Amino acid sequence: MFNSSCCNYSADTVSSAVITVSTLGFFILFSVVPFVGARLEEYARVSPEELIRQKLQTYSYRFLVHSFESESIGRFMLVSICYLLALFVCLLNYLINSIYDGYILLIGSLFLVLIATGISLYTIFTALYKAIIKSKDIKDLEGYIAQTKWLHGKKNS
Amino acid sequence: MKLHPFEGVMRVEKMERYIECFVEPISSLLKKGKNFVEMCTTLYPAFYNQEKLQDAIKEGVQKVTKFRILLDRKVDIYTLKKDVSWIFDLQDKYSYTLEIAKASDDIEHWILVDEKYFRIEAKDKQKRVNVLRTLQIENTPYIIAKEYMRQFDIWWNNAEEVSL
Repeated sequence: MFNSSCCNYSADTVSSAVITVSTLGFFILFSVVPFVGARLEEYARVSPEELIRQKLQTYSYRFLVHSFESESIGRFMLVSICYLLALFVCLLNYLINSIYDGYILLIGSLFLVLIATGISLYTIFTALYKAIIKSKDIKDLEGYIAQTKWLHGKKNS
Repeated sequence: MKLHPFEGVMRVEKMERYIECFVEPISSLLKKGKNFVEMCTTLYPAFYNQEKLQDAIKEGVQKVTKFRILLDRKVDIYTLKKDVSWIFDLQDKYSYTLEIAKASDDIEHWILVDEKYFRIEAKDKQKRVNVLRTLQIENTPYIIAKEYMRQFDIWWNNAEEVSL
């Protein structure tokens, strides 16, 4: 492996470090996401009807809730983004290395980056689909909210 | 009101009737349960001691995997155990399925059956005595169902377990 005489640069060491940090990040993120989810659950302290109404108000809120309310989507998205960033660092690392030591490692890490990009894009688009495309259901849900206004005796039923 | 191809058509029925008129709708609602039933109630003895409802609850407890009754914080458990003793006997017999707890929070009176069939009761008392206003929902979309179930879980987790 390439070792530059000026700074003892080792592509493998840098990549190992990046992967180690990102693996630790994997566990940290899995711990943090439920906390973020719990913060969102504070909204559940209001009535379900009010919560549904709030959810329907903005695209960004809907995106946020859809991203985090489902643990699988929220965690998967954050973790895959974390890995994607880590792999980009690896890619950069091997790009530097390849200048001196061939392209095999560069192609390998590029392949990993493509996979991680695919996973990240898939999860992001899943969340976006839920948040935006499914918003066509809003009118129907508004109909339900109107019924609950009748239930609780509010005027604009 | 179709919200999702797999969710079926949502049907919401408004009901404003005297309490005794709800025996039939609640009985048939409870009988629909296949997976779980979650009830927030006072277990008002004059109402729940009626044979039809007793049968529906007994049938439900034997059919579903979890039947949770969350009692209003205002109820007196000691009196209730005498007045609706049959339900506590049932709990003794089906202790794995039937769970009863007394709420610590101010709860609303709901019946949630299988994420699909919901009965939501008005929060405030109606002007007319013994008249209840409710919404009965069939094929509840998940986006609505989960908010009610989440709220039930919050109340349930804060509640105090009641046993025979």
